[in-house]
Amino acid sequence: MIFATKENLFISYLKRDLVVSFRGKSASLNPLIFFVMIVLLMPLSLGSYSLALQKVAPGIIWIMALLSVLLSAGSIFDEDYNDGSLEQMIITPNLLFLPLLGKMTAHWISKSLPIAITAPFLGLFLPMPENALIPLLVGLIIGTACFTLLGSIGAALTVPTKDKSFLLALIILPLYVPIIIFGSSVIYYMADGMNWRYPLAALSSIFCILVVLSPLAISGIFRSSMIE
Amino acid sequence: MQWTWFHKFASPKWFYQITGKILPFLAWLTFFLLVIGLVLGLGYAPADAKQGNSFRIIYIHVPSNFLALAGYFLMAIAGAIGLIWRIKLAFWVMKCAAPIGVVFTLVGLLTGSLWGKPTWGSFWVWDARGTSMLILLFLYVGVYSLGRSFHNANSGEKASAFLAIVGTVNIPIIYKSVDWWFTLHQPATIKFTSAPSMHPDMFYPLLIMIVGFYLLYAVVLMLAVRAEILLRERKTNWVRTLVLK
Amino acid sequence: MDTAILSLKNLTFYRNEKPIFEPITFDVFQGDVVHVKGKNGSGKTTLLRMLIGALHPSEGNIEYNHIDINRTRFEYLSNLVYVGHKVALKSSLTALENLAWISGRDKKCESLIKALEDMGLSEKKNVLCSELSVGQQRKLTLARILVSDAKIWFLDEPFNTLDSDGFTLLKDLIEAHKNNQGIVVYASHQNVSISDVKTIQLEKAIP
Repeated sequence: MIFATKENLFISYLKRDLVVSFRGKSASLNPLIFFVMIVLLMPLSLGSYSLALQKVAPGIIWIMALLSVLLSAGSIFDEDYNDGSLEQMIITPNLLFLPLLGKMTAHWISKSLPIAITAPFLGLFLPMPENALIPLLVGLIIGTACFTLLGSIGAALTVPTKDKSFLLALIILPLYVPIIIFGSSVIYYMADGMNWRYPLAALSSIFCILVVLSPLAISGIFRSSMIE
Repeated sequence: MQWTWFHKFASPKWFYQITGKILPFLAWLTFFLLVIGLVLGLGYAPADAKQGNSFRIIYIHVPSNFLALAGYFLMAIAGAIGLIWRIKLAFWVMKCAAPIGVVFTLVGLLTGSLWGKPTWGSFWVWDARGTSMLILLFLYVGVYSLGRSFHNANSGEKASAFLAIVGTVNIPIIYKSVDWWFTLHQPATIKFTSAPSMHPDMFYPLLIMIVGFYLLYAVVLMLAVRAEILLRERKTNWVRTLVLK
Repeated sequence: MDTAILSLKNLTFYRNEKPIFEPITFDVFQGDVVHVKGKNGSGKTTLLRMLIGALHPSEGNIEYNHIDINRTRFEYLSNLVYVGHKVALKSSLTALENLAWISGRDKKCESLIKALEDMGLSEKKNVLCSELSVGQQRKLTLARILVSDAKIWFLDEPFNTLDSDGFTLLKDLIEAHKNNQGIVVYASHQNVSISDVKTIQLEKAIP
């Protein structure tokens, strides 16, 4: 049985996972380093024609952020599955909604938030117009949160499988399409002089839907005795 | 829920027997409809004012797309029924619907490309409908691959069912976002001939083909599920007596 | 009182469309210790996982106080503690932190310190789990039984990796719980000499 009698379930799972991930080995920084490297390598394949680069830079940063988050998304339940904590979580009498939300938030803070925060700095390198950097940051913060929420559903579905990075990408990428579209539109709107708050609002509404539906879906998946 | 009448529908043996009776009739009906539709569409419908004869591929393209989409919903609903009421047959229907759906989606995409070349000059045009169909293909492939990557077939079926349901919830969102994206970036210079404003002589064969394709899907699905039933129930008495006969 | 607390009715699990053991019908009463016996791979862990509600049975059902466990999930799960094969400990947390986490108490709680003492682990309370030996980890994960006030204990191969002190300790704990009208269901391929043990022998299913 795992239930925190006095503390809020969300906070206790959040704290525990953050402590585990920060005390753990250095694997936590890999997604960030990967992201930085591939974004900086991008101009090499596109040629350094400044104008073309400026136009596609936001889209490419988004895709690279997506890839980096996707690679780490599959691991959210791995450690728990391997050491038996997942089993304990499944037989908890309380609803799994808050614990799952806590876990996903911890995962987002340790793996995706650094990517979102570094992106504008990378944008300066590419170079992106400076007024596009704030929309990029805001869009990525909400967007990576959405990626984590959706990716965790994929992780829950693939928990017992081995070698799951590509399978996870395969099943989750089509579902990411709206997030990518609205997220990169935030910047393109900015560039075209339109109000970038419109796609941002759409992105935020997707986030709101996911915040509610994702933990529900995952707790359904875990309670359905799929994992033997 | 313990309604026994409902559970009768869940019996694989019942399904096998019923489909055994109606399949020959359905198959012939499908054949006739498809032949009539094709003959009328390819031979008798008047040539399009702008596109000439190349538009005729819509007699396969449009029904394929319809079925690709309908098939996904059927797959997801079968999965949901399997999950909620724990009916094995529903999972088998879902499992068979996946590869069939892939084929219909592929046919739709390929015929779309073939149509695109003479009409608009390129094999692929990035537009809302085409892109959504492409994403649908990926969704199907995802459901299929997920189901197959589990050692335990039952876990795989449950996982596929969940994924199919998540995908269904997403399809409207994906379509809307893609649609929004494309109306933004490519003001509509490309219009499909929309069905209601088609000449009746072009439209009726299309209707016949659509119905024919629905029946084709049903026939193929029934055949596939029957095979799956025989495989999964191979240890029961009724299958043994059937096969050894 | 003689009503069964836990009832198994025609319970079995299918793998690849075949039942892995003959359906089991069994009643468990207060003060019972049940030993699930069977060879390796006979389905002991699967049975336990069905009993704790982590796996849906393929056939039959389980009742807690005569209500199906799927209908009385919260009460049932609140009254049981499960110690599985795997230790469910985080290697980057200390022993005390892990125990606090899995028993849902605050780190400074007195009962945690006492439980660690009873298990012989009090000097290790601020040591990371990655530095504990396998036997010490098992003792730690069993310590949660001392902290919890659950009535039903489900233990999967609990005697594995324990040294002789640990073995005796666990045996005494089980006897004490039994005398307190608690219920212990454990799966083990070893034979442990506890008084008045009921047995569930898992038989291979006849095709």
